[in-house]
Amino acid sequence: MPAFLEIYDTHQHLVFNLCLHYLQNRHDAEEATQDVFVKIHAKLPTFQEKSSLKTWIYRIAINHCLDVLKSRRRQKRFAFVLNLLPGQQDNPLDPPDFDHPGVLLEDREALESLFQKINELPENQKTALILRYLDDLSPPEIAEILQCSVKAVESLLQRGKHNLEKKLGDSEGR
Amino acid sequence: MEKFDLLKKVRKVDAPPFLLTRIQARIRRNEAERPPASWQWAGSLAFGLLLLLNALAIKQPATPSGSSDPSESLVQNFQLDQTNQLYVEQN
Repeated sequence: MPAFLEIYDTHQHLVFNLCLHYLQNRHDAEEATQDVFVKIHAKLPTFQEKSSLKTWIYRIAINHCLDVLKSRRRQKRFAFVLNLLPGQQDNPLDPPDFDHPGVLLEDREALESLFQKINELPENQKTALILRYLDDLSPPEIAEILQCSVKAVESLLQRGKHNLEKKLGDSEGR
Repeated sequence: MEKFDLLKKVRKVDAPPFLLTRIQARIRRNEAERPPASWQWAGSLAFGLLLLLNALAIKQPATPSGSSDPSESLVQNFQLDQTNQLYVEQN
């Protein structure tokens, strides 16, 4: 437990902020942070130090957040099907409210729509954008986390930005 | 790209202080729910033994080594008549 406590002290803010960037909801991010640290505690004896501890924690947190997003999409589909059945109209279809404590009130509306567009991107492009522009990681650091080359990360960032620009352009054109 | 630059305005926040207590409680609960190592070993040993017995049962011949045809031993054991005559006149 002492080693785990040290890891928690050093990385708690990193994991919580990463979960917030992916899930954009304070309550969900708190839950996800708990899940991530429980996983870290369980997997710690098998950590082989092939990568740095920070990279390993990043991978666990990213995979968990992507799983949460997948389960949200599954729930949404399930609720949609349930809503088609007679007498089952009370199932919520909407994702959780945008509640990011790192966003100022004056920027909330604009950032909510921007995050919405980021959420529509493919998983690897979204991850590259979040790590580069929200977590301020360098392309080599992102490459280590995603286990790919720096060139591949640069290409992901390029495509992610291009797709995001397109989506933003489409929504403004409507 | 003006809208994209908005991401720079997202500030880093601190994790809530109560998270560690909840995480520790969940870790303790998970450890309590997990069966002790001795039970896990006993379970795997029993499963291994079961597999071994099954393998032995498959390898062993299904009939006793004395007779090769199972119907033959059945006839002998039950003292069945091997002719097609229904009524045998015994002397």
